[in-house]
Amino acid sequence: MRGKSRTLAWLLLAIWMTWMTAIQSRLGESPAYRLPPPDLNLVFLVSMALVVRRSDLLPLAVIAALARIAFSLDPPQAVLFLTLAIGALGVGSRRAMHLEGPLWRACLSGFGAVLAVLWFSKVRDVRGIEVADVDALNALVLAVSSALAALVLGGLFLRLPGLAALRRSER
Amino acid sequence: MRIRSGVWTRSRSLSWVLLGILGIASLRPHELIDQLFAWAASPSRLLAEIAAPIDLARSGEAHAAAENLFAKGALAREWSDQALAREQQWVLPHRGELLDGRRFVHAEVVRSGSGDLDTIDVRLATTSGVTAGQPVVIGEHFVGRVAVLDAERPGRATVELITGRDFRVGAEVIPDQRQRGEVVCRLIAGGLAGVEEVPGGRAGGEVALGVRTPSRRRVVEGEVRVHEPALPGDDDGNASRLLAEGFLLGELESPNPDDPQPTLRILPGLDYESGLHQVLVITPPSADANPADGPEVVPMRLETFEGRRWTAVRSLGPAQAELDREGIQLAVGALHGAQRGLAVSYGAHFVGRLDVVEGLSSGVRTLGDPGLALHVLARLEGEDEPRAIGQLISLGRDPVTREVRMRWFARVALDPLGTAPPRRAQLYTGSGQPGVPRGLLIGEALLPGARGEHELRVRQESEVRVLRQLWLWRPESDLPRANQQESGA
Repeated sequence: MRGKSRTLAWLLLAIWMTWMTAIQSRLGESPAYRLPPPDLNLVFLVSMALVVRRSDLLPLAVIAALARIAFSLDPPQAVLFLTLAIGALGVGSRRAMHLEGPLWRACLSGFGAVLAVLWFSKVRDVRGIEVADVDALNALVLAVSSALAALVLGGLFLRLPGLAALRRSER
Repeated sequence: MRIRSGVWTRSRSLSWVLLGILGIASLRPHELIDQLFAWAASPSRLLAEIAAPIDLARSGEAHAAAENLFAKGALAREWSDQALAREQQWVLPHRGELLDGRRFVHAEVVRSGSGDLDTIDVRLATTSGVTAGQPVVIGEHFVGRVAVLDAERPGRATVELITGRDFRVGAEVIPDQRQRGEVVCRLIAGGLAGVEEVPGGRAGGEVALGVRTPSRRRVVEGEVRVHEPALPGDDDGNASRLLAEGFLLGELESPNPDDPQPTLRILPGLDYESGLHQVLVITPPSADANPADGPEVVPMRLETFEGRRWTAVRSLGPAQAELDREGIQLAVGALHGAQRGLAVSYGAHFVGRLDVVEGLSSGVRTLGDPGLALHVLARLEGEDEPRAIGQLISLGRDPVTREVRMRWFARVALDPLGTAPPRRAQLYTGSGQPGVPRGLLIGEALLPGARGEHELRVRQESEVRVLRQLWLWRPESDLPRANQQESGA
């Protein structure tokens, strides 16, 4: 019974994660929204990484990666590397330093968003895709907007219907 | 491996190993590995479909864009058809002595550039009468020779360019004001001037042809034209050499004309990097050709707007999860025959090129995606014939004006004096990039006349990224065999 509810929870997580990433992608494309949109995919990933069991890191990273790949032009392996690395950072920081509050969630989300920009810039560079230097101002806006989104929405993400079964019961 | 109190557990080890593999696979591109990961990512198509309801709110916008482009599509296509037909006229030489005793076979460049200035691949209007060694020209300009006809793909051939490392052709310099009795300067031209001669060792920057063994060192300017003496016992070679006689190589110049031993080079007047779109193969005239009927020309069939070359595909919405990238996701993948590099259009309008092709879906890089490179034809205001202006590289979309910033390295000046103001031009896709047909409308821009690097601002007709139904170019290998032969030869 518990296994079934967790399977359903993973499915619902995939749907919620996809919707958040889709909103992020639509904001990026919208002429009305001119600033770099918050990286909702990473905000959701970090929020979940700070509450799931350590053994759930891999499925969490794979779901976040698949949702991101559906709205990304970068190679799937590079996307999975990013989500796994950020997820591991979240799980590792919680276990090693007991960091899991909203402020840490915000810091990690902002840091993760900048890391994503630098990582994909490197990946494109080695693949011969001509890229301009990373715009520091854009990266800063992205980091701040992602951190704010984590602060404001992170708690809400964790309370989305169907995800309770994924939260660890003890530390 | 399970030491609870220690550092390692099995799942942690697995995560680190996986991270290492993913990192290497990301930073060491390998086609097979990339394909494996692309197939493994196929479930992402299902997730993209799940997000579809988000776009319901924008269906009105998509409808309006489709109506706008549909209304303008017929006119854009007519312009494009006219421009391509005129381009075929433009590549014919205009001087009578270069037309006489020759037959011209049109060919479209299907691969060029990317640092390779040794060869190009072309699709011939016909293979009849075409043999290796025959000259290849654009207008008055000598470009190279047919190297080999492709036995695997009917109608395809490889052309050795004059810029190739080992290419040599005899030539003579025609001084600007030739004096009676003046001895002309003969020389051997070929390869690139002033670069280290390694295979594929040059990309970007200015191209000048190399000069070898000039008969007179003091001649430092003038037109250089092909002139090769007949060789005894080489009848076929002599026939091909005769066909190339008199075609232009470029302008002779020297960076140090006052030097006792001036360095010589030829400025070709053509952009060999990305400005070769249409070429002509010169063959001996047909037996039944009548010189009174004018030049014998075998035209190229224009396939860009033929229905059989396009497949309808559904858009899954924007693919812009990453900062500064611009693209859309299509509901067509490798399983449906999608290939990297194929063009996506709406009517006569260019939308983008396929990039990441997964099993069930594909990512399209649209015009505003930084780094997207296109070979471009420009139809300048007040001119009928489009000009091949070379390669444009996207620098991204301006978030305020929505124009696309594009970098253009003009190797050939539109205005030789460089004093005229920028001119408005319609930009079309050119040839030379596999999977991209020529003649799709890209947008409108102001083009500066001078040589060198410029940043253009390209305005697109409408917001093509919101469209739901698009069209994907079908590669020749995807067409029935009979159609391939029809289009190839």
